[in-house]
Amino acid sequence: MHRLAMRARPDELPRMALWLEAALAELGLDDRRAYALQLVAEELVGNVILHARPVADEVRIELLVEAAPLRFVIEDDAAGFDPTVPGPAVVVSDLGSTAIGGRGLLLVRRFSQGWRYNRTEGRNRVEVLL
Amino acid sequence: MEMRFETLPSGAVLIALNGRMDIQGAAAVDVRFAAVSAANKAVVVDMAGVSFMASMGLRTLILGAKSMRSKAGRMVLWRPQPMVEEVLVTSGTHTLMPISHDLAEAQALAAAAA
Repeated sequence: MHRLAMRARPDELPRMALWLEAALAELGLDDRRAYALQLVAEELVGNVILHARPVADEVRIELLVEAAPLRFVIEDDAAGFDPTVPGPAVVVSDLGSTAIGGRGLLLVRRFSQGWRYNRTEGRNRVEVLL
Repeated sequence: MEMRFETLPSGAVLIALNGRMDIQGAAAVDVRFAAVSAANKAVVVDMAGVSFMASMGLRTLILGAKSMRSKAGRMVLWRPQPMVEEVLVTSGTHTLMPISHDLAEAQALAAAAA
């Protein structure tokens, strides 16, 4: 089990990357699952950093990686937000009309085996099965 | 995240990206990437050095491709690594900018009308 506490700020991303690298070195995953874990972490942590609405003066995040089954958990103390609720469909057919963003949660959905959200005691908690 | 570019004999510009296209990597190149793309009619992006692609990286590519639209040019992604290619296909980005693993083909696709 690997745990990390961080603040929801872009300058914390290098520290998260180092932590994830250490976790990956121990987990010995195949390329696909190693990539999926990094992608899920990047998208969900990035989402909190870029979009979360703070309740206190700063949003705090806790990350957890468990080995068997492989699971990534993110908890944050921002305002309630459920990323597992499907958002608006991304138009992909046309470069002119396609949105510039909005693909992150689609990637989490496609690269994971399932995920769930709950909110307790003022914290958002997302568990992703990989 | 590093970016280099050169003009190929065909007239297309070859933009080489190196590193991780995550939030910070994308931020490091997105303005320059968009500027170089906007200035060219045919853009081939050498993806060989991109070891990781996430949604902010996709955003950089799409912004770059969109900046070309007024010049009827095309952006083509050349030789992405397997997992990066899977992200591009899963997200549908490959329908906005073609993927090719052959440079000659990539240049031909980039020069074709959008």
